[in-house]
Amino acid sequence: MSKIKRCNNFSLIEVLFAIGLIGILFNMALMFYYDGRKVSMKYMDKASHIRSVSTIAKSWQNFIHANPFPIKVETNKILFRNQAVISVKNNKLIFSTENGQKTYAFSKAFAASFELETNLQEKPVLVLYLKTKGNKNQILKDKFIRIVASSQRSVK
Amino acid sequence: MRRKKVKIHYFVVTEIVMALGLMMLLYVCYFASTKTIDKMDRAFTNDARALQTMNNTIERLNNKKDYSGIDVKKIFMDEFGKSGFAMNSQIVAQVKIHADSTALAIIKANGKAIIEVQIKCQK
Repeated sequence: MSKIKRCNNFSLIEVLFAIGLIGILFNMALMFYYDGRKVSMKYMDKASHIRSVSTIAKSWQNFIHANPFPIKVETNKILFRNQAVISVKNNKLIFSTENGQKTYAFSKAFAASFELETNLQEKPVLVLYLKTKGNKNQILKDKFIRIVASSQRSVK
Repeated sequence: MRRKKVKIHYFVVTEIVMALGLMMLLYVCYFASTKTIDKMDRAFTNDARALQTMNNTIERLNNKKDYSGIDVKKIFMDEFGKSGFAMNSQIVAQVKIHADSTALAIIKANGKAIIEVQIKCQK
């Protein structure tokens, strides 16, 4: 007959308590890890977005000054009189002319759209909206960055 | 046969309280740092937004042939309204019209300016 060596005699309650405690600690550690990762990713994304906005703003304004007079403005595409086109595909802003095209990527957490805005006693302006996407990928209309470019700039 | 006595190590209440206290401290530190990051992020976003508002105002002013202080104020206030600052951010726009120029500023809740620009008016 084999001898079974018994060591610590824990009661069922003690074992359950230990399992519960380990479970809680494990969950807390996981929560810290995932929450921390989520927060740092979110802010890294935001920081890169703010940085890319300044580059995009300059390129957007320069492109429109060089190719004025839009003839067709849609939310994801602008067609100019000289056949130049600005379009949005996923998280890329594409500036195309006869001479070639330039692509600017922005964060996937944002969505770009265009609008032609007419203000009283002013020439129409083109507006690029970089709107924030929510957790379920829905576009948050109240969180955006607005970049204006004058489509028919006055010559002084 | 004599049964071997099993030695069980019990934790005292002080040890458990200490462990819980350390866990609480970790938890508080974590949330305090998240809150600080959130505050910093809001400040940076507001700075970027203020800069963009001013940039948009100047872009729209360049679109006009000539402009007065009233025009500058109208365009700036319009841009400020459309810029998307959070309603609870307590950020305000300030316009001072002088004889030959207009001073534009975006002011934080503590009264300090995020950005200040002086624009020479043409009429």
